Amino acid sequence: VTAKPVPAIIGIGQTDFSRASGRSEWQLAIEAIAAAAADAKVAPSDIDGIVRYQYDNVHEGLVARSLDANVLFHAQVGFGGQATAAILRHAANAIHLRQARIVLCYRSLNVRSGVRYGRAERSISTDDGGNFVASGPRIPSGDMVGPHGLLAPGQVMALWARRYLFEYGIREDDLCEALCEVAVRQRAYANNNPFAMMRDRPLTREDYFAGRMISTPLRLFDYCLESDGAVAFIVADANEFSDSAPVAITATSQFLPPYGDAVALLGTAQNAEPHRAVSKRLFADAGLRPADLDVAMLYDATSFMVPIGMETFGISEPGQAVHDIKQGLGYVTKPFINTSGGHLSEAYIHGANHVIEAVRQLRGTSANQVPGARSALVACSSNSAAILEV
Amino acid sequence: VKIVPQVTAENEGFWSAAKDGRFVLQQCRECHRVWLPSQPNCPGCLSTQWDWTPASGFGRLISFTTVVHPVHLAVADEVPYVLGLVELREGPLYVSRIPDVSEESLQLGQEMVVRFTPLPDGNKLPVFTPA
Repeated sequence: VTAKPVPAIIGIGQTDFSRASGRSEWQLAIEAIAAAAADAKVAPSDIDGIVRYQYDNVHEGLVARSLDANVLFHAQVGFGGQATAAILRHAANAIHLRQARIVLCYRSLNVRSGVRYGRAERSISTDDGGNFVASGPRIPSGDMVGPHGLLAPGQVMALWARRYLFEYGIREDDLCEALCEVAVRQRAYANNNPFAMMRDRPLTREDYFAGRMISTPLRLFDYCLESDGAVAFIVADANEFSDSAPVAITATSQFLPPYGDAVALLGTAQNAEPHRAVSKRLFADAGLRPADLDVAMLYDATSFMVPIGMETFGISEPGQAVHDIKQGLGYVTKPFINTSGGHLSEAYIHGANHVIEAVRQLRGTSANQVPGARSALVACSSNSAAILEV
Repeated sequence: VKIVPQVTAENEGFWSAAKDGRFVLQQCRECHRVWLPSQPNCPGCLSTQWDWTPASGFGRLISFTTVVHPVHLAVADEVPYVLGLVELREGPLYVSRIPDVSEESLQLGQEMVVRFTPLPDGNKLPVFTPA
């Protein structure tokens, strides 16, 4: 009788992160995958599972060709960055069920030099009469919101922010001070991180407040980067690959409430009870409390996703994150948040770079190492989350 | 406003009512639940028997933002413009351009009322302004 499988990340890989990769997304993916396979000490052709972002242009068929691999299990997760930790969930389930032995996860994008997610060109078309047309149920930019001018996720997050002020009676100045703290701290992490696009670009409080307004109350440095690059990781049974520095995937969660697809605006706020209930179950499954976490990698398309994410996952109580950030929670006291610089200052690889930073922390190899880190949360709002442990 | 909606089987009733100056919600014939945006069935009982029913046209402003940086050519000459998130009196949330205001004059929680602004395809866009 063999031991029950312990799903774990056994290898990580990446390309450089840049404004113009000069390579195809397919090539970037293969470079990251080859690095992850080498790190895991597995032959690429032995990969027999693939789980990837539905948004990725590099589909699993192309990867099977490139790796000369025979794939027994493959799946996609939708809604953009919501796939961040969900791909770990599906990969871990495949390992639990022994439906595959070596599962590859990846994200590859040229969203700076190619189609930019921060703009609306990919969603607004023109008709025969020369009108601009908003179509489909998507928010932002769909048929009900596009005509009003709600066109980009960054505008939705500005609306999240003021809704939060309204619900908790928080002053806008206090929120902006906390968001400044997030942006400045993450930039300082990036300044230490050799992979970070903003490695050589310091950011002060004065720089933050001098940043131009994008969509009030959010300023330039509240927004994530747009990046070219790829990240890959490999999930397998830690028992079988004990020589590959495995990082166990202890618990995972997903959540898709009504109007929770894509960048949600018409449903419940992300720190509301239905979302917190999902995160409570995640921690119960892991046998941990939020206060036990050493590291939290919170999806940060804007800086506002950090305080709201802290509240989703019980790192802060609802309405308290702004205060807690100013007290140093996340930066002076654990869990340490977005230690790579995150999407704001390392790169925007759609959450996948958050996963590999969590692995680096638990292996003790982060550029901003938290001494003795044993547990990490990786999450994209409540939509997908995973707890990793060594 | 320069961006027009693509009219579909499910949203046609909304836009044709708006053209006549009426702001409507979908309402279930079976359980009388109301909802927006349009979808083919009642989210309460899954009935596909529903009507477009007149709404009060009032709601509460629960968020707003001033879009300063345009992200598409279509709105490049409209910035800065104000977007609001309105909690309709009937319950659903509605994203609205708030025309002819600066955000300094808005208060979170304030009462809003619908009016209609022309679209370039001859339709009208229901927008909310301070009541």
